[in-house]
This record gives sequence, structure tokens and C-alpha cells, in this order.
Amino acid sequence: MQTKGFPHWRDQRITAVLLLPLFILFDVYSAFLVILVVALSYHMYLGISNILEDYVHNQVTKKFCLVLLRVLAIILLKDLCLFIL
Amino acid sequence: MAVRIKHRQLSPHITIYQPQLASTLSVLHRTSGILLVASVVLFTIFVKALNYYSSSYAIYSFGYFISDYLFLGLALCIGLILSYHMANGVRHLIWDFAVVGFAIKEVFLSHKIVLAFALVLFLRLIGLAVFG
Repeated sequence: MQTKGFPHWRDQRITAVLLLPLFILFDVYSAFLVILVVALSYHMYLGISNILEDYVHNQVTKKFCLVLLRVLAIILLKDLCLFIL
Repeated sequence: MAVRIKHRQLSPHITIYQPQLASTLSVLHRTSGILLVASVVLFTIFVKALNYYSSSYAIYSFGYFISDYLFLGLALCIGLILSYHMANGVRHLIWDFAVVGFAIKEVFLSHKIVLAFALVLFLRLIGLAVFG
């Protein structure tokens, strides 16, 4: 099983740094709002997958929940993009 | 492998340990993250539901009323949670990428800086909401 620890950690920090000015300056350009939505949903997916990996101990349930979470993140991204456009 | 582990009784641990400021702020960082994700998901569901049922005048006028008053209170609460999560997130980023702030005196100072920074962000949000 390939466990990708470092890209998870790195992407969490990259999206966090990207999100810091975007919450303040999201209405300056319309492109900032789109980048905010994409970075926010990816940051939410990474954070919640941390929580699921920590607190769900059954291996089958954990993998299933992580897959469902990824689907939820994609659906959330689509809905937020439809809302802001 | 289906071995049923008999879970025995644990002696009390977090129920009797005095909550420290460091542990409370760390737990609050994770809890605020969960609450923010829940609020984004609920907001998306709410907007989609309003859009789906917008042909009914009762629901349309309810959505109009909600977006004037109740949204402001909810947005300020979410803004408070977001302010704390951003402030503590900045401290995590400083811990990850710089070499300062690991000594215990510096950690105690960083607690106060994080709480002050969260308060500043929240006051700025209130100012934006009140004064446009």
C-alpha cells in the first residue's frame, strides 16, 4: 500500500499559505474567489482526512470513509463553483 | 483478521487532568476546523435547497428574510471561528518553516499572540460588517 505522507503535509501547508491573503482580498479580482474556493475545498479535504485517519480505527471503515470524503470534496467544489459563477 | 478484543475499563485520564492552555488551544484548532467544514457544507446545502424550491413563494420569502438578518449573526460566529483557526494556523506555519518559537517561554508568549491576533481579525470583521 502506497502511503503518501509528504504530499499530504506539503499540500496542506501550501493551501494554508494561499488561503491566508485570499480570505481578506477575495473581492479584489473575480479570479481570487475561484482560487479561494478551489484551495479551500482542497484544504478542507486534507484536514478532514487527517481527522478520519486519527479517530477511525477499523481499517475497512477508514478506507471507505476516506473515499467517500474525496467524493464529497469534489461535489462541494462543483457546488461552490456553481454558486459563485 | 476478526479477533474480538475485549475492551477493558480505563482509569480516568483526560477527565481528571487539568486542561492547560496549550492543549486547549490545540484541541480548539482541530474543533474549529471541523466546525468550519460543517458550516461550508451546510451553507452549500442551504443555497442549493433554496434554489431548488425557489418556485414556492413561502420558501422564497423565507430565504429573503434569512439572508438579511440571520445570516449576519451566523456569519459573525463563523468569522470568530475562522479568525481563531487562521491565527493558530499562522503559528503552526511559523513552527513548520521557521526555527523560532519552540522554547517553552516562547510558546507561552505565542499563546497570547495567537489569541490577540484572533481577536484583531474578529474585530476587523465586525468593523467591516458594521461600517461596510
